[in-house]
Amino acid sequence: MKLIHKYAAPKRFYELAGTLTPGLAIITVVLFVSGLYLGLYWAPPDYQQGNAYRIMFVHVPNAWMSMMAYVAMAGFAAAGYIWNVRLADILAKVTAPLGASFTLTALVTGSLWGKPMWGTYWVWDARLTSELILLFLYVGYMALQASIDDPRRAAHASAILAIVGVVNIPIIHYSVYWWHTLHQPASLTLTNQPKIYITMLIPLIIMSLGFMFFYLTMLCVRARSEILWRERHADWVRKLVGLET
Amino acid sequence: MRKQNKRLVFVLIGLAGVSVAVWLVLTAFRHNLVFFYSPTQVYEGKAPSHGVFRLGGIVEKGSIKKDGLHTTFTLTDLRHSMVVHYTGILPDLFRQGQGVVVQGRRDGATTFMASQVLAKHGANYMPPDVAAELKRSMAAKAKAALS
Amino acid sequence: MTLPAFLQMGRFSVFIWGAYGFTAIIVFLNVVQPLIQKRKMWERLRRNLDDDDGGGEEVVDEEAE
Repeated sequence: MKLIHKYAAPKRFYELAGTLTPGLAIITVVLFVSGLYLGLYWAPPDYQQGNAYRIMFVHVPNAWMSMMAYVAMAGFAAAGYIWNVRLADILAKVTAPLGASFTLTALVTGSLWGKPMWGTYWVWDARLTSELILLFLYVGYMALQASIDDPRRAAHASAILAIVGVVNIPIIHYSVYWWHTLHQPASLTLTNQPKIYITMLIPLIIMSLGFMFFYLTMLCVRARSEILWRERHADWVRKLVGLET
Repeated sequence: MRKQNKRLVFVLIGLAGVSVAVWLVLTAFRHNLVFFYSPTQVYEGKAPSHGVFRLGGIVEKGSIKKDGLHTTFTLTDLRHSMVVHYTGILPDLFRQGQGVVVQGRRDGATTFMASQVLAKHGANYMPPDVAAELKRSMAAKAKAALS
Repeated sequence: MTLPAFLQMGRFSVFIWGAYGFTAIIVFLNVVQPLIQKRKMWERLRRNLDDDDGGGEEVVDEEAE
């Protein structure tokens, strides 16, 4: 707890993130390069879908990250709102554009997968619709953040939206079980054996880790900028930019 | 109570309230949110008798008849089935034994005039040789069970 | 496998490369945009151009220590 408090100070987090960023970036690049090689070249074609299933290696990680980033964003927003942790406010704010990108990518790649396999770019089934609502939640959150100048008030107002929107996450996940959808159920679950052959599963996991590390890398980069801007009147920032010695 | 604890309680109660509300709405609309009906639901009169709706099921083996762009096939949920007529290009995954969703309107008790055919695909992914091997071993098992 | 055969990807090259291409663009934008933002912000900090909200923010770092 003391450790958390130590790094929850924006200045300390600024330094910690600065140390971590190069390492995280290198891991991301290694995962992406090996994931692309394994996914596009090494993995065999699918017995039913041929090569078209390879879209999975970008679609599924982005869909997962779109939900994980939202849970993270809502968690940060709640922590910032309840305990007034300013670092949490910052992390929530900078997670939003990343989560929105993951959601948009999941929707577009899914659409490009749907056309050749299902026969349509888009259907209004429960899974696709709830994922679209997720995109609107991210956009709404970002708009709310941008519309209020005072950072503290912006964080509080948008935190409510982020927390209420969490309800959508289980709906996305269970939509394929609760309703008849065109989208198929999950191939990977925590409880059942994977329905993906091992040579196709490995690139999927590597790509997923790649997008996860990509999120962490960009979270550090964005959070550092946001911290610096919000603390621009503080002594340590003025020293850092060379305004004071 | 401390201000922070008050906020925590407020967030938790708010979240619980919203969850319950959404859950109630979803349960109420559960049957209206169906993306497609099954042939059994059509047989039991649970699907609309007029107007456009979607029908989902499996393409019965050996039932596909093609005449140019016109295709006729039997859609079944293994209990009841309907004959589907469709003119147009079929999705790549359309084949016998495949799950499909068709959109269109009924024409009599067991005939369906489709304007769109969508293929569902399973959650299974494997290379062709593994699929062939699996099919062979399943057939061998079925044979062993019979004898 | 030859390069043209690899690029062909069966019959679905447009969709597959479209999906990977879109993902690459979004990833690229997500890297470049924060870096541009960072450079602009550093420029403003160095010139001490923070007049947009007139220093209404608290100066003391209350949670720092």
